[in-house]
Amino acid sequence: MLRSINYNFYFQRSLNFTHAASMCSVNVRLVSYLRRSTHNLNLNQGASHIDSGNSLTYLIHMSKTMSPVACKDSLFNFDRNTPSQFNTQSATGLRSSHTGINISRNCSKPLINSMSLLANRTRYTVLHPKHFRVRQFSSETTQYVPQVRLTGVWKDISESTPVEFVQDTLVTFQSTTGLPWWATIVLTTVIVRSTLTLPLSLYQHYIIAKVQNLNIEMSDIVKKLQAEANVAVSHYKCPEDHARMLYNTKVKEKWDELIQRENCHPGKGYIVLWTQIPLWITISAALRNLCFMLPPGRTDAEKNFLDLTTGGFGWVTNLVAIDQFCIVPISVGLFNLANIEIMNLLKTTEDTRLQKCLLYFLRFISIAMIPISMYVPSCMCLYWASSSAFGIVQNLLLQSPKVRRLAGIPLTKTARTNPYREMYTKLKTKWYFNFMRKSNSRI
Amino acid sequence: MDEEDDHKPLMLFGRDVTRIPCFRNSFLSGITCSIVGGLGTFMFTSKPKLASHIGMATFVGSTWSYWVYCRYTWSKQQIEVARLQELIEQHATYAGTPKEKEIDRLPLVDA
Repeated sequence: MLRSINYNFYFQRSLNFTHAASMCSVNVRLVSYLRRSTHNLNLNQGASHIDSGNSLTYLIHMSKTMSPVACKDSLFNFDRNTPSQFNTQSATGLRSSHTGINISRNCSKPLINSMSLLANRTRYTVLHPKHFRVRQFSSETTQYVPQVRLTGVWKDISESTPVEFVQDTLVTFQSTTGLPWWATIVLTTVIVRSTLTLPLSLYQHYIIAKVQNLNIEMSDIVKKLQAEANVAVSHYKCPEDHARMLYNTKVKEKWDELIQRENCHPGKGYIVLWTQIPLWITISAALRNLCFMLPPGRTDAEKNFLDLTTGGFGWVTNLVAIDQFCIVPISVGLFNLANIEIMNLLKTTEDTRLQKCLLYFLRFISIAMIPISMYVPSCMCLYWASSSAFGIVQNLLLQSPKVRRLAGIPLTKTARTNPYREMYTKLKTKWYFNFMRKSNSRI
Repeated sequence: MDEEDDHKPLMLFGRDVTRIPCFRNSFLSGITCSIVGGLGTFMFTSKPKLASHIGMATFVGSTWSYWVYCRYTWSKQQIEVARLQELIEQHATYAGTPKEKEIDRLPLVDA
């Protein structure tokens, strides 16, 4: 339903265009094509959405590529913003004087055939060596077409196999479910994060808990080894340096032994990081590709682009453009910040100096994400926001003792019995909490 | 490989290795296999030393096996192409003679 409304909307846009430009013969024919294909569209709407979508996007594409006529040395040289009627005249003039391609030749051919011929011909016009500048008339107001050329690493990322795979999957998911794009993005985020990152995070917590429990066992071994080293120094006249070296290697050996016995090397926890960061980059790159119709040469690029321009929600109707009210970008930053603060509140041990530095760095990064995300298309922003929101939920969920027992995470000494209440009491000691309460009471 | 000449040559021992067939792919497969093998071993056993050994071993093993397999199929194709070339030349020389008709009448089988 929503889709068909979108299409009607676009169709009206293109009709406006033809209305303004209907004086020249090319556009009279274009009108006839439009009429004919509206007929098709109406027929197709019940049967298959995709077909009608394709035909219409093709139409829009045609109406767009029909018009651009660049003229370096044409009889008429106009700016992009001159009235479209005028441009039409220049286009017709150019047609007769420069390109010399007879446009009204294939009138009697079948629809599809003549359409493709038309498209070919207009491409000739655009690519004519004399015409260095592509000028579009009337499509300026009706449609914005992104012109982005990526280079270097960005190009490699945008054209890499995983990114294209994610892009195709997103498109297929959207077209099979028929959901609007914003819902597709949010749902994909939730699905991907709950099937990939959530289990891995559970695994990470499992590893950390096991290592914590091993520390208790290790302290006994360390005591024993210390006693042995002391005996070696005092009774057997072993040099102190040598004894310390032996002790250190022995401690390391014992620790490795324990870790291998329990199969819980702390480095295994980093698997979360190594999947989450590439995943985040890949999905962001795929969404950006969809927004800027990249990589060039994809047949469905324009259709997806048009779908995205109307696939928004609430105040963000156009997912390709930036969020005018900056609500989504600010929520990205706030969610990230909240995540960091929650992790900070949940800590059981005192911070080392390095950890404090890291905390401030992460806070800075999450604030710095706000201006960055103000410049990216709002669908990427939406992905980031939903991903961060999921992160908060996940981190809170993983503290629950019930969830931890359910996932088989062993009980540790430092594990909390009721983490949420403890978090709240710790939150009360923070300055921002008191600040908020005071300002509330003053009102 | 011949049609794309815009890539940068990578000279190694006085030879552009990007022109050697199978070179790039065998290294790529080796690297992939070593990462998978090494990381997999680490995740299953928690033994970093063993994992790095296995990673190295899989790198060498998969690079060489991919290389051998790829070069074998490549040279097989080269031989076929050469035979085909020869046949085409023969056909051109016999064009318009009674022998051409004889050749054309032969069944199309891979001998």
